[in-house]
Amino acid sequence: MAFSEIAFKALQDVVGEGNVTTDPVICQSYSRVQWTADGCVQRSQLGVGMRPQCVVLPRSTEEVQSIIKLANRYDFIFIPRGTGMINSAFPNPAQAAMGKGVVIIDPKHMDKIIKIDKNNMYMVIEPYVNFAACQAEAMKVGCSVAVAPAGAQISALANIQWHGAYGNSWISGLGSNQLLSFEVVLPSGEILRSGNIAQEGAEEDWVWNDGPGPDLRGFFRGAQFGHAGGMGMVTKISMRLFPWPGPSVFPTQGDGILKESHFPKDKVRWYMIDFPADMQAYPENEERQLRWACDLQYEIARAELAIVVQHNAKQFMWTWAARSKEEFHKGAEEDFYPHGYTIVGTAAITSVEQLDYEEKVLKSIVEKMGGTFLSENSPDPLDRERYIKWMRITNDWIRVGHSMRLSRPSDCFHQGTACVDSIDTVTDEILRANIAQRKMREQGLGKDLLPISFHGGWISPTEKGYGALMTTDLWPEQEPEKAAQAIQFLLSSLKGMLVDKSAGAAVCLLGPAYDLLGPAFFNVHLIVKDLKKQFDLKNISNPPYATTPDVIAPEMLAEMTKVL
Amino acid sequence: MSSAAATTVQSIVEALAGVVGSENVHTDIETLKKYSCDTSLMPARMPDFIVRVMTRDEIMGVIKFANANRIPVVPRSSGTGTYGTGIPMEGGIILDLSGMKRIPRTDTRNRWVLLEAGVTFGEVNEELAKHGMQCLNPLLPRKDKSVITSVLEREPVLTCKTECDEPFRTAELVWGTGELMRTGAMSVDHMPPEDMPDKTHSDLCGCGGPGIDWWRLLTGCQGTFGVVNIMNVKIFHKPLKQKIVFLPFDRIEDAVMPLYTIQRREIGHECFLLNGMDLAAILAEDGADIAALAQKLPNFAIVLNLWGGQFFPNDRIAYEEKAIKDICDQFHCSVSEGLSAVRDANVQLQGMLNSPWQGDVYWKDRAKGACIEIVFQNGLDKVPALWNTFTKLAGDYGLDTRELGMYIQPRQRCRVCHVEFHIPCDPQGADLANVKAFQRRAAETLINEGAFFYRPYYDWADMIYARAGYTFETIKKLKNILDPNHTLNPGKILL
Ligand SMILES: Cc1cc2nc3c(=O)[nH]c(=O)nc-3n(C[C@H](O)[C@H](O)[C@H](O)COP(=O)(O)OP(=O)(O)OC[C@H]3O[C@@H](n4cnc5c(N)ncnc54)[C@H](O)[C@@H]3O)c2cc1C
Ligand SMILES: Cc1cc2nc3c(=O)[nH]c(=O)nc-3n(C[C@H](O)[C@H](O)[C@H](O)COP(=O)(O)OP(=O)(O)OC[C@H]3O[C@@H](n4cnc5c(N)ncnc54)[C@H](O)[C@@H]3O)c2cc1C
Repeated sequence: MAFSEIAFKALQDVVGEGNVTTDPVICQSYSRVQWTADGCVQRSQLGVGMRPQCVVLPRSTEEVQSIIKLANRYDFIFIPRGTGMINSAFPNPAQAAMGKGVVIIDPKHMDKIIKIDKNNMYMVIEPYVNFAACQAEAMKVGCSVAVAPAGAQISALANIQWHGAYGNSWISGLGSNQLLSFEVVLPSGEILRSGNIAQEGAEEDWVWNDGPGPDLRGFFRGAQFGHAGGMGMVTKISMRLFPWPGPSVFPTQGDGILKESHFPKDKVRWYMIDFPADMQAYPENEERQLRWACDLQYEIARAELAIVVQHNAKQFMWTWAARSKEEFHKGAEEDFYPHGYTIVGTAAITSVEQLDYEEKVLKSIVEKMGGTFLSENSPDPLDRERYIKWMRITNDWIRVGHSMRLSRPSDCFHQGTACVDSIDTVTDEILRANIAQRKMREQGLGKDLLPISFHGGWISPTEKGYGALMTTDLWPEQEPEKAAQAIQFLLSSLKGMLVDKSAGAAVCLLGPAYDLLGPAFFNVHLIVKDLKKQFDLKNISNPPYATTPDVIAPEMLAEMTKVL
Repeated sequence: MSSAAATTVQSIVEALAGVVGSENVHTDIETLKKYSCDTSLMPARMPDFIVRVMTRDEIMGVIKFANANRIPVVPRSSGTGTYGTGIPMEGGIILDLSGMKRIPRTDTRNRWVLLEAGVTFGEVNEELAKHGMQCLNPLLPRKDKSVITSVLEREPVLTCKTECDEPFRTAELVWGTGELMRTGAMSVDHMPPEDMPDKTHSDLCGCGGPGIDWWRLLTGCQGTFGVVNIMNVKIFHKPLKQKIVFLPFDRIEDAVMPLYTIQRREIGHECFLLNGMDLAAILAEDGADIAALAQKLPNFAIVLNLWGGQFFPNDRIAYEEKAIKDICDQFHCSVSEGLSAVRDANVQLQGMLNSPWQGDVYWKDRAKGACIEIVFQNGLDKVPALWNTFTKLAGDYGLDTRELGMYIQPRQRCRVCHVEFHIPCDPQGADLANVKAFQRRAAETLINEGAFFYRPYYDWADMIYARAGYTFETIKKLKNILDPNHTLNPGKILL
């Protein structure tokens, strides 16, 4: 479909000729394909229909505002973009079916860290600042940021306004916790500011999030997801920084995949904790192991220590620790990590004495529970190797993880399930997903997924154990049928959560899921549809997100959520 | 209840009595008067009906009826209001939730307590003590202060730990239309929330959703979006040992870097800064001694509770103490375990960290009978200049600046500070109009100097929202969606 000439002309007037294009070759590179399973399925359904008609590169909030006003005037769809890693949670032929032009707003020119306030522990960023830059700059001033395993390369702003699961969620929480003040150009073109910056006279100060009056982070974010571009474009945010004991530059040695990173032991210490001897066999003892890991996490919560605490399932251990595809497949076959481990990191935020104290407490807790620490001196030589391989990369939980590792096993990746609630509840969901998916596999479904897909379970407690998030992950190959199987697994987990009244169901409402689940959730979809109608009169801000303005008819809903 | 519009007082009383029983509907002038004002010294306005509710269904019944008949409903959960937020602007019904006193579940593993809107800090701490747990208290709340309204108003807690900053977990509420809603992990079913951890896969820990973060949207709205009847909030394990220390300062400027550094190094749990006047108002044995005591106390003092926790408490306190001494050396200040002018000041304050104010006269009111305030939130580095502006202006108004109080509550390890400037005053005094004029003028001056007025209290909403651009338009749109008939607390925050 050709893009409106007058709209294109107007966009040129706003951003200059060099910053807007309809060139099909350039636009194709913005088509919403990634190596995610939904991207793969979408591509098979839409082909070049996934190509936007136009891409525009604004330099400022004012230009974004003009672009969005033009979208209203000339009735085209706009998609706010971060770095384009993941644009949707469901296959989305809806946009293509609307028959309107689609413009991607690429924030590449809005790439500045505007301010770092080390005393008040926040950083103000534009949309194209990635996590690597945030972490590097934060560490220079004795701070650190929340660290998304999605990668160093992604937009920190995009992540924080829309999702956010972190390697150090123990101290940082979820994405919605990182969001302090924010500025967003709403779908109407109006500018909304929340926090200090909302108040004329206090706008230099980006320190705080809520008010004046109601906390508008609630309007803009959810626990798992924000509006996914369905409520305008965020142009600046301030994000939380956390105390960091140093070093101020991340220590690394080696090149490429051989790169390693080790902290001085008077700053940061890592622990890799194994289950008691009588529950080693996996998967027979999976439930006992995970419950043990929960008990350990609750004890660490009671002790109020550490900066990283998590249980990494077998699948996460090895996708992270393996350095190459070859090493991965070899190790997976040999069962290099036979089960999951609990990983704990402590930091000398108060002092070196604090590190010694925390080590003493951790050791006493683990000992009492019958667990052991792996180390370079573990009696079993294999354990030594397991420890050494993990320690090469464990700093990545602080540095900013590298999601490419997650895609490495099969060049494609999908979530098996996800949940946010207590440490115990998210563990229920890991067990549900693993058990159900293994059973389905016995019946032939998902036989094409890599075997490691069936050993999931990232227990990632948040806010020092007051809550938790978990995911399990699946590895199909980049073929639509295989990818579709992964998506079906996710949907069946979701159904299980609904039937069993799991907290996980409450946090997956987005897109068509609002219509699917809303009636079971106090008709919340009707309110969100009202929001969409009131704030996005023409339904042009990345539809169908956060939801469609009108209730979707059942047959249409079936079509929209059909996997393949 | 008939469907015809109720327009006479009699028919409304009957309809309300049908929902809550006639003994819970009050229209006598004495009762109405009691609810027409609070301690803010804001002008009183009369409600028409006081309705005491005990259950969620009663709340829904009252709001549905009121919404259908376009009668305002003002929710109140605490016995005493403080900032004028519960004074009815357009008459109507005061929905009194203070009788809802159940604390149906405490979860020590996940560290929360589930409580109804009328439960006070004293009541919840008494319950939690049985479990070896403690509530996240604000500074010496009134005895009759509802925990839920404190959380809804985002009143800061004494613990500066980042993960304790937002105690809200999940809640059940009734929208202005009378429709029911639940937030976060509580939304997966309609059963009583206390049963959910046993009967569902929800431990009431996930606060977000369903979909967006309703729990956050509900805070700071002064009851204009929805009425919360039950909520679970974060709690923490009582430490085996703890120890209060004081860092005194002559000038507020000198306290800035030590306070930042203590928090940056994550030392201790509860921590706050008071000036001599506020310290005296809390510690004086007799209200009449406050002024004299204030002169003997440090001009400013950081109060810090070193925290031994649950494991090897002596070791923990020892390394925290060592770190504090380092900080004092670094910034040339001192730390002590007591205050020379008050015996056992540390012991007294220790007891106050998890209890409401015990005296009959509220501590802020002790000096002169009443106290009006300026409330804002900024980075700590901004506060000294704002304090200087405030005290200078007070001098211009002929106020005795030695009588002014100051309370700084660092939040999230001092990412930001909640700040209160206190203006003690005689509610019957000849000077009251001048004091009130000063408060308004000071608010305007401070806002112009960059103080962030995050809570539109008193008569500040016009001043604040005039400076808030499209933010206020957004809030109005939200109001029209959530409470289309403007049933809930109309007139508050200009809605
Ligand atoms: C293998 C893999 C691992 C992942 N791991 C994690 C993880 O550990 N933690 C985590 O949090 N996420 C994870 N994700 C999810 C996701 O990739 C990230 O959340 C990430 O933020 C995407 O960043 P991006 O810059 O590519 O954003 P994009 O993909 O470009 O955008 C994400 C969404 O936000 C919208 N958006 C972007 N910018 C704006 C803006 N300025 N205003 C309004 N809306 C906007 C977009 O329209 C889109 O809907 C993972 C994804 C994959 C595929
Ligand atoms: C800077 C500051 C310092 C404070 N210091 C103290 C202090 O030291 N001691 C102290 O006691 N208080 C203190 N507070 C007061 C306290 O935060 C507010 O008074 C309180 O949060 C509101 O309760 P209330 O008793 O004033 O009024 P309430 O009448 O109970 O309610 C306040 C508002 O919430 C609404 N509301 C009531 N119940 C509900 C409900 N169940 N659901 C939804 N909305 C509801 C009301 O309609 C009203 O608008 C302080 C507040 C601030 C901002």
